[in-house]
Amino acid sequence: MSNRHDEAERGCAEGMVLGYLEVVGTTLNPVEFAERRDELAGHLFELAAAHEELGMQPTEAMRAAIAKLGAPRLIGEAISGAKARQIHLGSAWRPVLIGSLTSALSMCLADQVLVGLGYYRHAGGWATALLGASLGLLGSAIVLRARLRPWLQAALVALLYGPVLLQVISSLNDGRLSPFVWLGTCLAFSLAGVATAVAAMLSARCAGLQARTAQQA
Amino acid sequence: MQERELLKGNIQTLILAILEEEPLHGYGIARAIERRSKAALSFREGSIYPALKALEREGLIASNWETPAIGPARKVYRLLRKGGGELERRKLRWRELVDSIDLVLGGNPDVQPT
Repeated sequence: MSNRHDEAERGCAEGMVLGYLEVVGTTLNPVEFAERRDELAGHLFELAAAHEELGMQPTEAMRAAIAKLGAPRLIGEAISGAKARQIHLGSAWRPVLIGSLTSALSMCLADQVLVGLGYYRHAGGWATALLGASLGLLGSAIVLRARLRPWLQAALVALLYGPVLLQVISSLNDGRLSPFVWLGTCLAFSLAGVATAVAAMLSARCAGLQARTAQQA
Repeated sequence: MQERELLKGNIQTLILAILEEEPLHGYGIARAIERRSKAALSFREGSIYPALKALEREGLIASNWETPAIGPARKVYRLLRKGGGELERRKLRWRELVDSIDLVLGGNPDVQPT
């Protein structure tokens, strides 16, 4: 019975740490969060352990530890502020590159599908790939720099892609597109934008985790 | 409140001074500040991390992950040569400031009482 109670207490304390880190994570970009997450969690667990030695229950000890560490949003914002003054995109070149490649590929795919469906006549070819790669660099940079929720970041990049590319395609195909074609084209390229954002976010998370593992080893 | 603000402005200097003694992780730095100040300096320990980030960015300290025999891996920070020089400069500036404030608080020694 006592063991079960202890386990429940520990589970609750760990849940508090996860909740704390989740709030910190909303203020940091994925790379920065991957770097800081374990460090902050370690600090909380050590503080809590010290409180437990003084006789506190795990949840009570964790609550005291969280109070001692400070408000998660403020800490995250302070860390990201310290980070924002440096050019950190250089250290995240891999996610940016992966985002750019994903963008080029998904845009070429969308282009081919739309031509195949007869939405417009001429596929962009290399021009589409080049434009996709360039937009991918910009989209990935937005994803890595913006301090927004992931779905909001993806929506932001999708908004960047849809109208920009629609304009390009429209001018390449002699002017006006029907509303149906307009909507389909906008949707297809917005999806390419979402794919770019997701690729950049996922690779950033992986890059952060890999770097940490390598350093540990 | 005023003490906390004063500490906030000098947290980087305190961290450099602690790391001058030995490499430590964030939790260890917080405990060392507490120990050396005899628990007189109260602060939100999370404020250490932005300060560590800034010091690392300026090339004054460096870090690496270490896995102890028992317990989870820790990110340990150490003072670099440039950080040692910066610490000396900051100590000097601090003493000059304290001396200046002492002069004001203690009255002007050049003025003789009548």
